[in-house]
Amino acid sequence: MKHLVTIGVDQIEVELNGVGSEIDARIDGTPLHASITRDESTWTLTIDERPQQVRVAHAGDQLWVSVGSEIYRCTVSEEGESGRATASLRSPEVTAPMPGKVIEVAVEVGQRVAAGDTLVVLEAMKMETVLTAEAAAEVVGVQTSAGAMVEPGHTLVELAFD
Amino acid sequence: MGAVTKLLIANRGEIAVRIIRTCRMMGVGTVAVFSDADRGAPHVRLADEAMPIGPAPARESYLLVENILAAARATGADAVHPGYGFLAENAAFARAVEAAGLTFVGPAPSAIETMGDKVAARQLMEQNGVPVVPASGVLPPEPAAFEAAAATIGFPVVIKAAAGGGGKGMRIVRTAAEFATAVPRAAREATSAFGDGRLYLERYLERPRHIEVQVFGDRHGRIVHLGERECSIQRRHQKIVEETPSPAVEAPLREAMIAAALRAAGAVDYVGAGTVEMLLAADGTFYFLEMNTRLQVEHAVTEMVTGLDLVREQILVARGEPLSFQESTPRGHAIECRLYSEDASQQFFPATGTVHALTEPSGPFVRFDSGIAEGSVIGVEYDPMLAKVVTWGNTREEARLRMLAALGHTVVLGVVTNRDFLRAVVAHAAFTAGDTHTAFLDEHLPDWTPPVGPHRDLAALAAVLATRAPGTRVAANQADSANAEPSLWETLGAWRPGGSGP
Repeated sequence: MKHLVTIGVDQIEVELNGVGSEIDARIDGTPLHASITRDESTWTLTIDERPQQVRVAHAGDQLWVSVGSEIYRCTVSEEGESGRATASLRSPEVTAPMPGKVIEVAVEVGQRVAAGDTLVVLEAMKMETVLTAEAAAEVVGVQTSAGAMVEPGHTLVELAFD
Repeated sequence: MGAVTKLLIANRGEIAVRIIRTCRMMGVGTVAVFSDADRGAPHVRLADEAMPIGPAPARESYLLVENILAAARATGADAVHPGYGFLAENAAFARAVEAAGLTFVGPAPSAIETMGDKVAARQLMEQNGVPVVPASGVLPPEPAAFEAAAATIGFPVVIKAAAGGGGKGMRIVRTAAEFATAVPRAAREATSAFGDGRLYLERYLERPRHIEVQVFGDRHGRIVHLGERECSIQRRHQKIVEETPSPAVEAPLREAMIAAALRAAGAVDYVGAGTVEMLLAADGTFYFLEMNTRLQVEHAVTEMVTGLDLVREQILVARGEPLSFQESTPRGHAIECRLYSEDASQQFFPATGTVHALTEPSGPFVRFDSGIAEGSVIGVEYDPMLAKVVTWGNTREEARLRMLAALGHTVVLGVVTNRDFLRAVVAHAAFTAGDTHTAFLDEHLPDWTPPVGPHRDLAALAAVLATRAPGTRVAANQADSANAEPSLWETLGAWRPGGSGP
């Protein structure tokens, strides 16, 4: 079966055939044979006689994987499932990056903003953070107001970029 | 001065854990206090006794003087250590502790008060021949007043909270037009962080180094220094990498800075551990910034080069005993990196989550002071510092390389941390060269993005294997992350060597 693994903005296709302690996989089409052993809380994945220490932890719909000192946050979906769209670097929806309180909404619907203009001021952990426009745009939606408590991912402002 | 046989630690996280460790070594009993959010926290598990002090928000628990004193009474503690942050520099708290007949492990309330009022402290420093940065007095919170003051001081300037510290309430202003938005914002931050919105204005030095001198006074009239630390690597005006000695401070300058620091401490007859923070300009001039009347986060680097235990010295001094050493001769070099739950590629936004897996660095000359364990829930209530990684070396380069390795061995799964950002700092050519200043991060790592390692494909494979493993709980069941859940390893029967596949 084919799986799509999203890491950051990359999508990696993983096709798994053999399972058990010996694994035959294709990663973005390239064959890979690995053996796996488990010791306490760490896996050892061995490829071409070279062992790698791997840890995996579930957190919500994400999987955190460490390979040696490298840390990855992954989401896995089956192919054909509505795969997660690759996040646009210039998101039209400005969302709360973390839980916090909206201190100020500096824009209103219909307003033109330039790159760097203040959209919303959030307070979290007693620090104020200014969310700014990534590029010139028109404000097409404001979904919050001063004083609101917001959760991560909550859309604050919608922009239509030029 | 008094007994310290059972110490209540009015704090949480790594510093509470670190204080408990010294208490154990000295045979001092320990009482942890905890909010609802910290019920299962490492400091609670490590202490001899633990008392709940209220709900998660700090102002209803860790900042509530009555609740902390009630916990001391209930447990029979005879002393209180405030750690850093929270009530550590609150003179009213120190007074309340003493009024309750308990020993406060810290300086006299009057010293906290004088140094806590940044404007009064500046005046006292000037009177005692300690150089200070040109600044205004407390200003009314109106942009016009700040504009007028800036005209005298000269741009760029920085707005600061009179009750301040930790970067909160600070705003750098380069043109008069910016005051209109900067003043109300700084006042709000100051009010929210300190309950005191008073502001003043100070000349802003470009690219200075942040150098501080560790001082220590006892009740026998001695005030000594334990050398300097450089803490120039800062984001949001908060330190993330510290070291001692400073790569920029040579003999005559060091003596001058230390002499100024001792004058500063002497001006308030300082008792206990304190830190005199200074800014060192590129031209070699230095200015008093503030005095922190408590143990610093970065005290560990001083401990690494002096071999002293500063918490032990604090307890000795609180008992009225003399400091355990005559003078200290630092040896080698130590570096500290602060591991924060934050996204360094997203303006250092604090990150939340559960620590599902934790690998701590270890080995000779590596110290890991941590307030987290597997299962710890990282919320938004408190400072997002998870742990400190500290390394020592005979030379700065030895300590630096050891730090790079130690950070690599520090693996937290479940919460975004700044680990890779710290590695980028410590690996940077300018850091390697000792060319550090407070604008280092803006200058050298302004658009840092997390690196993609060579084993990304293997990580993807592991992720798929973990998802497909029989018995693995599905994501929807993981929502209640505060509860201990069976780790993947307990549910991965099919992956034993030679095990049969599904």
